[in-house]
Amino acid sequence: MNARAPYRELTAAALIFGVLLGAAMTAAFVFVGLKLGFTLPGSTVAAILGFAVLRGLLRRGSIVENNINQTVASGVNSASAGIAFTLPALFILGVCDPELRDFGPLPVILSAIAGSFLGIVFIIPLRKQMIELERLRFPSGIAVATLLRSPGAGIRQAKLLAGGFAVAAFFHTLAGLGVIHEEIEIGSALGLPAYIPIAVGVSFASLGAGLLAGRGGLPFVLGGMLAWWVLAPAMVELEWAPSPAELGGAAGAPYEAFVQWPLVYSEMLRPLGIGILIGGALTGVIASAPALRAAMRSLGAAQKAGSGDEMSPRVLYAGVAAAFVVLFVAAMLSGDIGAGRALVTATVGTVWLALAGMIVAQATGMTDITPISGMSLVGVTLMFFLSGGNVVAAIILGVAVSIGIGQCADMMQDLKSGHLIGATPKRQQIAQFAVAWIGVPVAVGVTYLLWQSYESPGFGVPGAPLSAPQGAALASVIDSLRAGSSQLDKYAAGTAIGLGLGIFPISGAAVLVGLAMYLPFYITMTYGVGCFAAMALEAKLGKRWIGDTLVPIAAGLIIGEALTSLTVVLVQLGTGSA
Amino acid sequence: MKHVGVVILCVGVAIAAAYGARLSPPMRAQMVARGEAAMRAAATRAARDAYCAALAGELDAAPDRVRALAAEDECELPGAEAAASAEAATGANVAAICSARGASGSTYDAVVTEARATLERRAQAPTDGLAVSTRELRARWLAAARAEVEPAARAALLQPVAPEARLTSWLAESGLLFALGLALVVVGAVLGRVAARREAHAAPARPAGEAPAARDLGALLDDLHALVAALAEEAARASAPSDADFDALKDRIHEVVLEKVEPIVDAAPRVQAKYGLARFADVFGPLSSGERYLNRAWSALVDRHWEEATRSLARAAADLEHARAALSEASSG
Repeated sequence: MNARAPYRELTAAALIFGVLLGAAMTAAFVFVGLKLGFTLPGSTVAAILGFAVLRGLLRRGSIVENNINQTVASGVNSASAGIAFTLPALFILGVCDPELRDFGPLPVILSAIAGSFLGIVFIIPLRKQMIELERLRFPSGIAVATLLRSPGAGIRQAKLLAGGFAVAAFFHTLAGLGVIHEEIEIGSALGLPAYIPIAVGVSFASLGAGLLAGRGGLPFVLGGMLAWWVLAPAMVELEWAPSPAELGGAAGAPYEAFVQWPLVYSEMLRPLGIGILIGGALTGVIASAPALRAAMRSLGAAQKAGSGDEMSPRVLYAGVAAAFVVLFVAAMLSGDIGAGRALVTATVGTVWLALAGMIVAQATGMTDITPISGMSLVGVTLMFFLSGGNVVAAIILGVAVSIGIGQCADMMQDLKSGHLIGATPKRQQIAQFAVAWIGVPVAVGVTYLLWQSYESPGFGVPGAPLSAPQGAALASVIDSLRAGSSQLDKYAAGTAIGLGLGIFPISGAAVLVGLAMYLPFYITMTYGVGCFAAMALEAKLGKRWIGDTLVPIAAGLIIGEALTSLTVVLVQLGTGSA
Repeated sequence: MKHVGVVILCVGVAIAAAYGARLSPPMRAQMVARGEAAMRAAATRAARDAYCAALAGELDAAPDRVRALAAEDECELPGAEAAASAEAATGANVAAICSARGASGSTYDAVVTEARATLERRAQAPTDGLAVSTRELRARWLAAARAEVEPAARAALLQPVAPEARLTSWLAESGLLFALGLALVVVGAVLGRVAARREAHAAPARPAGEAPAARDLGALLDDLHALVAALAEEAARASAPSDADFDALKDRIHEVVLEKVEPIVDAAPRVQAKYGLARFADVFGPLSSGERYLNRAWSALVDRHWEEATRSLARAAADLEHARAALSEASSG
């Protein structure tokens, strides 16, 4: 690199390549989301592809320039999950309800862009809070930083990274091809019923996240154990769950399956977990108010000192105001709800997005798991009630919430990577601001195209070419809401527990416990194995060994699974086996 | 006190979560209906799978009869995948989907009557030519399906419990014990907070053989600042650095981050509890910024950009000086 030239960071090449990569990923990930019901880890995939092209093929770009490229690509792509998981519900509900077909793309696009920008501006103070002060791990952020640093980290670290990558890629390929199970169930071998699961998911990304979290992830694991090893059997033992005789049958696999999923998980633990997440975040806002104020003060001071590192707090205020206005306009355009309701829904939507963004950022920071669907569900429920039961407005504003919180999680991962390689946060945020809107028309366009390119509905209904599982699930929730049903009691109880837990002096404990109840146990267990392994290794080999050896291995595991997921999905779609 | 707090908190969380998750009586009644339907459906599915497998086994012996019954009973036959996908490619049957969705508007009697009529029509289908065991399996399946009709109709036509009703009936059933659990959570959490504060103000424990200064955050910060300032000066003095200079400086920065920054980061919870969040932020904000600039210097050295590395080291030293000043201010006031 020419030493007299400025150090390359925010460059046209990084922006343009990032936008192209991000747009391609958006289109592909929307399709994958509609076909399979999940998307892939955008930041990690963008980092791998960008790194391979810029550093590998083109032999150019500095480490921080690579980071900008990945920030841009994943920023563009962060619209894909938000759109693929929410907007299809409106198409699906419209199949049998002509009143719901009368919506155009404009309010959807406006709402999505507003959500996208809100997600970025809310991160401005949260970056200082969560990355600099709380020092949350953001495992994928560490993985990406390890990848970006690999050219200078030496042969040993490169080998460890490659080793982790190879292990994850090997086992994830076997799982993807159905050669091995994606979940290893030990409980049934021990004679335990299915509702007391001892199961580990074959996910080396979760294992890697646990390895990076170490002791910090313990509340998550303990929360899962409490939920599934104490509460679930107690509920059956105390006959809070209907007995087999009440259900007209005998104890056995069908009974256990019913108790485990539709009953204990869907009706009891999951909504309670969502409530705990909300309560924990509310206490978190109150408890961290002094630090947030200090963060804002330091942002202002950095501006005055002309350090050029931090985005001005004015951007936060102006961004929130502008996005709020756009959200209000989207609400007005999305249905006949009147200015008053539109104002209330836009206001609550903005506040909820901030809170949910904080929850998601914290959950991602501690576990690498992003509970977007749960937060979007609460968002759509809120919008539904506030808009007076207007389904179109609820979903269109729900799109903003979904995209916004996805943007929060993505941006925080990128900023964590940036911190570890010494990137300038302001440049990353400027790059994200410049491109965040681009993914929206791409994702909305692909969704419309896929809906209309078949003779009958393109997704989400029986017989359609694409199943759109998340959109169909949201449509079913909205059907329940329209019928007057909502899990209000569980959300309220969970929120109260979360508020109480938030007082405990372990930052994020409530969010971790809530997340443990919100997720199936095999995910928590895999992560827990990583946590316990990291604790044991640290006790035996010391902290230095963790930094020098375990971090690159764990990063390799996360990156390996991300890239293999992409490859397996592409192969499955290509061969028609998905 | 810390351990007592943790125990009370855990017991409280368990009680509050258990009673918080407990279903209200109307919801439990709904789950009984849904559970009965699910159990019956599982029994029907198992009987149908056994029958369809037996039917498929007779494909060679009586192909026409087996194909006709498979179509009537919706059994998949070997090699029928292509036909199934061809059917899917014709797209969704919107009328049928909307008709099924509209079932919730039907009456219980109408749903039951329609389901029974379908089963009776199936029961009339000729089965001659099939083995006795297959016919018996088919009869078992149809019997299971008949037993499923009423529970399935009851589950499909459940009226939702209004959110307010769910809340009030849950409170009446579980509210008291839930409140007890919640109170324990709060007591445990407060005890934990008090214990953490006391620990922070107590003198830090010193492992045997470790110098007193090594445990003192101020001393650690001074040490770190001195090292980084020296690196910055050294970098600024170098006029034509060689590849070896780049690598050596990079390795030294790596050592500083691992050996000097990490111990300070470990002290974060103690600083937070001792000085409060605002003061903690005043110290750890610039410290983190300094750490980021150290990382930037490392990256610049990998990219062979000595000027950027020099600038970044100088900036890191300045940030660490701010952090030290903020700590002094917090200690004095």
